[in-house]
Amino acid sequence: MTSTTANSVGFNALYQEHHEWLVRWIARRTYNKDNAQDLAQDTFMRLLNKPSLYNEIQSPRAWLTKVAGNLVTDNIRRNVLEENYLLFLESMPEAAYFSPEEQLQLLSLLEQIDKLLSGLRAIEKTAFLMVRLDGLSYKEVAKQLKVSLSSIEKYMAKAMLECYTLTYCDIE
Amino acid sequence: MNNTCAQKTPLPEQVVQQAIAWRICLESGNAQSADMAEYRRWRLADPMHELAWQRIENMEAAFAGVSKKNGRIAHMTLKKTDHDIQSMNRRQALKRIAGTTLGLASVSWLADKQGAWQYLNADHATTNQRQLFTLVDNSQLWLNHNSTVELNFNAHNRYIHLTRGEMQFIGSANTQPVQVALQHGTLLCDSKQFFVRNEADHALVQVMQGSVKLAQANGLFTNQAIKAGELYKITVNSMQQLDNHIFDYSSWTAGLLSVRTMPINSFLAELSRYHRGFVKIAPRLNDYLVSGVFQLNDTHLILKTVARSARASVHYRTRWWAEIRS
Repeated sequence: MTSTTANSVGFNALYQEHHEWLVRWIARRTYNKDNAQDLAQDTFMRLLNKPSLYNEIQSPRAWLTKVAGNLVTDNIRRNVLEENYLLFLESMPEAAYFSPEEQLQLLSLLEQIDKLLSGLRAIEKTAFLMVRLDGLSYKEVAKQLKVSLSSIEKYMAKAMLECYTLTYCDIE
Repeated sequence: MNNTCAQKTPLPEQVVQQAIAWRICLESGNAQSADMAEYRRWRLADPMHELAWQRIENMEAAFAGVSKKNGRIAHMTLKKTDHDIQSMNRRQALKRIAGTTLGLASVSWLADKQGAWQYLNADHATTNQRQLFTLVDNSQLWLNHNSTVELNFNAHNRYIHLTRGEMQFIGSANTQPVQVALQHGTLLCDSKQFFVRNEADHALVQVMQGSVKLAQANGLFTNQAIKAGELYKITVNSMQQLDNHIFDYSSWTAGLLSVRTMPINSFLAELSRYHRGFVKIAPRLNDYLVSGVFQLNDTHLILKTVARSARASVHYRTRWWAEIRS
């Protein structure tokens, strides 16, 4: 079952059978009808881009709800990020000088950074951001966080490996 | 680490770890001159080492770009987001599901990569206003915001290449057909008034007088004419008639936006051509249909008016960031 035709038949069948159900599931779970259609579409899109998954999925509904659940979490997180970004923008007088392009670009970068760092422990992320965004030296960060220099080095290594993996390897 | 790096050259995990280790060595502030020599040797030893190093560098350059001007707001935003997510209960979290701001093509006015050469090669161009040009044979050409054309008018031909944006042609006594180049073919216009919009993946053509035929590079649709009063959407392999009662594709020449029962998201996409800034609407308003005739010289007023009709209002988060919500 590895030909493209077979896979697109498989996809269509899956879609026909489960799409409406998924929309209702999402609407119910999120108490929200407005976004259920879009989220369901996005969920199926994930499958469309990975034909090899058809053979691996034991239970379509379990897989669909897992992916949909993750998309919901991502969506919530992105919206919270955007809201916080706007809050800070509003309150910073220097932000008035950012052009709309720059404002948008920064938000987009923050979304990417947030995704890249999502797998880190809190302290790893904190250390990494203090070095990268606050411009502190490893020694200064170690001092402020009250850990050893070698701990900071470990956190940085983990963070950079994480970023690398998410950037250069196509993992689902 | 899995090995399915389909799109980019896969590097062994060991090499990546080495590159990261070297980076940390150089950053930690403890590197000795012996380390520097060893680092250089490592980097030269294998092209894969170099590639790994470059990739790590590129990643870090992205962060450096953010930190220069915006380190503080970036860090605060990310930190607060973590905090908020952790402290929200499920119900609170679910309230935060909504479409994100830029589902719209609301960034059509942002400079894109193609823009520079389109402007350089243009015979006529506009940026942030519409303009009427008189051509060598006394016919006239309206260009909307952010539009560029190249022309070739001579004794035998009248040739228009709309490289960007949209135009309306108004003919003169000259009865020669006009040719308008599109991405995948040419329009043969036996018409004294017609409108063309050029988008990356499609073109829109509306004929007010006369008729227009399409000559596609792939030979499709050659006998199909667009007659006066008709509006068509053309892609590389389709030609589809659209309802031209919903949106008047020519009213911009009079400085107006004229719409009838148009879905609000489509309306905002059309407005984005004229409005500098981003507009977000609350998801519950997605189904709202806009009707009216609006003056384009004040797009903020348009937002205010539309919001009010939808029983909502416009909130400005920053000067450039508007939200239409209750």
